[in-house]
This record gives sequence, C-alpha cells and structure tokens, in this order.
Amino acid sequence: MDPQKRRFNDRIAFSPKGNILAVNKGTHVELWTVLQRGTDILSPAHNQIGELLDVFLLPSGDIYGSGQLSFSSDGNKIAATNGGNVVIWDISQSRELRRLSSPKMNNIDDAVFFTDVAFSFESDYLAVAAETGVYLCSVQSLND
Amino acid sequence: MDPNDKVMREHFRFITILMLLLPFTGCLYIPPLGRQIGNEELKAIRIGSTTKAEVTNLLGKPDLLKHPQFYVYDSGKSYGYIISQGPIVSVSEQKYRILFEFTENEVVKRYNVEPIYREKVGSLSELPDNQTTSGKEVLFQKAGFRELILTGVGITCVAFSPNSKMVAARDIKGRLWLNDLDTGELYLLDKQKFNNFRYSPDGRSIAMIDEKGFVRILDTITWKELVVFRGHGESSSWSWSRDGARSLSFIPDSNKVAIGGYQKGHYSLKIWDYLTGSEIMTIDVPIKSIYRNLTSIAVSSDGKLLAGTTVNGVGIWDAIKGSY
Repeated sequence: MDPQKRRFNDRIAFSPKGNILAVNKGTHVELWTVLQRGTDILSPAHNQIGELLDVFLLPSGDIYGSGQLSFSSDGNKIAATNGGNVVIWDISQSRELRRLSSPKMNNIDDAVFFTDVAFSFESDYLAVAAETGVYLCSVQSLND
Repeated sequence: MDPNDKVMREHFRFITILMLLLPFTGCLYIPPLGRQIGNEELKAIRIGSTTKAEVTNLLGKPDLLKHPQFYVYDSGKSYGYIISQGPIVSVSEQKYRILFEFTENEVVKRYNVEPIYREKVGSLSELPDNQTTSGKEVLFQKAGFRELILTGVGITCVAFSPNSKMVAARDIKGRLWLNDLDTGELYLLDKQKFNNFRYSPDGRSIAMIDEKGFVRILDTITWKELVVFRGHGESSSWSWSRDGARSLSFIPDSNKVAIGGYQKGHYSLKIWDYLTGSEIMTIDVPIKSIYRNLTSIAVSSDGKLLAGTTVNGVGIWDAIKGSY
C-alpha cells in the first residue's frame, strides 16, 4: 500500500556537505539541491527553490513505519528505512550498496521492523535499529 | 591453595542453602561478583517460579567468552543468553526476559517480564562463535551486521556520539541505552522518559523531547539535566493536536538548537540558545492542517537553511534571518 495513504511521516536530512537535502517519502528517497529559500514547497511541480538530483527507490513491503534516513559524514552514502526495509546507497555512483528486507509477513514472528539508521561521524560504522535491538556493520564492508 | 577456592566454596554453600530455601521463598540469588559477571564464575542464576523464567548453569565455552557482549548457556531445558559485562546484565530464555542492574555487589533493579522476539537460540554445539540460529539474526548476519544492543524491547531511535565511541538508542519505553564501543559496556538511563533525542555537534550534550513536549538538554558525562526548553507549551497526554515540541535539530558550529513544535493551534519553529536558555527567534509555519507537520526538521551544514516537513511537502526557511 502507498505509505502516503498510511500517513507515512516523511523524514528529512541535510547532507554534511553542501545544501543537499534528502527526503524519505517511504516509497523512495529524493535528493534535492536547495537553490534558495522560498515560500514554496519542494516538489517536482514547483522547482524554483530546489533541483531534484536523484531518486532512490525503496522496496515496498508489508510493514510501514516512520521512515528514517542518515547521511554518512563524507556525504557519499545514504541509508534509509521505511519500516520493512533498510537500503544503503552510494550517492556519487547512484548505486544500491546493500539491502535488508523483512521477510514477508506470513507469520508476525518472522517480520523484522526496522525503526532507525545512523552512520557514525567518522563514517566507519552503520547502526540499524529494529524491534529486537541495535545492529552494527562496518561501512567498509558495504563496498564489497 | 588458590584463594578463589575459598570464595567459591562460600558461594556454593550459599547457593546450596538458597536452593533448599527456594521452593519456599521463590527468591533470586545472583553471586555477588560485580565485575566478574559474564565470566565462567557466573554459574548459577536461579529465578523463582514467580518470574516464569528458569535459567541455570552457564556452560563456560572459552571461545564464546571472547565476545564481551554475548554468552550462551544451557539450562538443560531452555536456552538463554547474557549480554554485556557492564553494570547491566540481561538474562533471557525463550519466552521471557529479565533484566538486572548491578552495582559492585548487589542487584539494584530488576525489570521483568518482557516478551522477547528471539524464537530460537539453539544449543551450544550448533553455535559457531556468537552466531545464533534465529531467523532475524541470520537476516542481519547475511547483510554483514552484528548485534550490538539486545534490549528485548523495540528501539525507535539510534545515534552515534560525535566521537563515534558511544551508540545511544531509545527504546519504546522511552529509556536511553548507551553502549560504549571501546569497552562493550552497556548503560541504561531511565530517569526521564522521552520520545526523541539528538547529540549536540560537540558531543557534550544530548537534547531530548520528553513526554510533556519539553526539550531537555543533558550533559553526556554526568547525565545531569542542564536546561529545559518549554517554549512550545506542555501537554500531559499524547495526541496529534497536543502542545509541545515535535522535532529538533542542532545547528552546526553554534550553541543553538532548532525546535519544531505546535502550540495553541499553530505550528512554529523556534531557535533556542541552550547555553543561555534564551529563545532567539520564532518562525511561524502557517499550515491549516493540524496533522503531520514538522515531524522532522533539519539544518544545513552551514547553519543557514532550515528545512521542515509539512503535509504539503518540505518547507525551507532562512535559519539566520528567520524568514522564508
């Protein structure tokens, strides 16, 4: 189901470098270059205040929660979750690096509910929060 | 003779007496080991019948003990595990989880009984290192992740401290978990329930939005509260139309924090100096809908742009002049 219809709360984050704003819409993540401040709202139809740089698709799933997203501190990677999936992308190559998806929810016990993602400030670790706890992964291993 | 032998003999005598008394008292005995928790010394944890969890006999397996976070032991009937050598030890079995908070030699606090989500831990012989056979762990392991904090309750927010030495996580009960990545120690802060938190750019403070809608700034060394922001008013129960702060973001290279909130029918963004406790500016966000606005805000790395979500899309404001 469209997360917008399920009242998905968009999440935003600025890149640590430059005026790049990422918006997690639940179904996808938009990357905008903010050109100026304006009374308008960032949207493809009203592109005076921002320029759409890239769109990364998030897989759909059985679970939608509040989305979260995090830039790596060098600004090269972005991680996002929409509840049922966590995806990590390389921004400069516009490429998906890693994906974690909850199993289909035939049985509620099998489902994994992702709630948050965070890169460490030296960009060496990525933490993923889920309903069972916090999981950690080295960012170096994402490039493999 | 090894001096520890005498200590251990005392322990075992105490355990034996307690085990004899257990059917009558239903009480709990944990050897007063303090720092040795998680070692092979921890042989007997017996929990009275009232907690429904019965976990005994840590089978010390040397290669498991290398991992300070994770131990598996076998009760003969059910499997459980212990995490952390720090002041908190969590013990669980298949259906229930019991959490103990230790000081040097006594249990200070005991939390129970929360359902855990791990269906199977498996038997020791099937476990290479700290891997488990649970489907959820396998999902993370395949993607190259290892478990860091297992709380047994859902985590809603996670963040690294700016020096990347601590991982902080907020659980659904509004408590803060802190894991020291260097030592593996795990801490729990539950004095103040809160909904959301952010580290300040210098790492000295944490800002959290509490249940009333106040923003509280805490020192990350003493964990004392430094200052409280009540600028968006207060509410006692949660609803979409309640007063209070909804989201926050620190402004880089400053002592300021941007706070999005709702008060008396209006959304606004407020910029607040958390060292002096003074409010610097208010930006009105004229949106008619009372739902789902300013659930997330962000400040650009140069501190000049302020972005916030609204039902119509993302709005951009000037964080210095305070206007559009």
